[in-house]
Amino acid sequence: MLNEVLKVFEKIKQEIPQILGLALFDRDGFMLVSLMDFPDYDRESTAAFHADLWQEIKKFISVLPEEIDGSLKRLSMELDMAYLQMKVVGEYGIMVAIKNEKEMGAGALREIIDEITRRVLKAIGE
Amino acid sequence: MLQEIENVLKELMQEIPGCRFLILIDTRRKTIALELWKDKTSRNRVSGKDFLHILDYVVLRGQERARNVFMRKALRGFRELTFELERGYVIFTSIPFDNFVMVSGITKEVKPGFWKALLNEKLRKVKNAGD
Repeated sequence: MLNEVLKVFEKIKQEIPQILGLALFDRDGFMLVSLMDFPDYDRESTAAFHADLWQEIKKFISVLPEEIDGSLKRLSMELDMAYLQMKVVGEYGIMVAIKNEKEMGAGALREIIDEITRRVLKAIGE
Repeated sequence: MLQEIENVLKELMQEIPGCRFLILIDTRRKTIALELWKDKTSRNRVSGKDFLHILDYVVLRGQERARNVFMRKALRGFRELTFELERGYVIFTSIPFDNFVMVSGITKEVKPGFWKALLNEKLRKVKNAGD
């Protein structure tokens, strides 16, 4: 199943070369599959940081005022160099990092991650 | 300048009923410069420090822990962090005042793109008036 997800990631990366990274996480924030295009990417340290970060995010969300709280649907970050977005679907989190280019706004990224989510869920039989 | 920012934020909060709180973080001093809450009971569950903590964890510790150069460099150029939840959004936005990040808590009735444009426009006017 995870090999299928990796194949989906590889195909998407070919289709959209501006993508810097793709990852699938479980509900505890553990990285199940990743495909990263950083020159000195360290999978272990990134996975460990992400798992810690996920716990912090869960704590943070649990104390938010009830008018805006509820489960996390999407987490996005814009940096000078890149956009990062994670969509949470059921038991999984799907993350995309993409180069921050003028023609690639946050709205476009939203559509890209929705399409990736559709393909990944199909690959894992959800 | 902080007083002008506070006045603008108070106006915004009255104008947009879905805006539940606004928090201004001084990232250099790692302190909360300003907190505005629509409903005081909301504050019972959360404090400004919780927002400072999560921003610090994601952006600053992310830089320290990112072993690869690209991620470290990328995280230095922070612009925005958005949590989309079932009932609303929490948006951390870098604003036109050096070292400050604005946190907005808005309900789903408010479109986040509209909100960010409005906030940016109001703060830009304060900045231009001060320059």
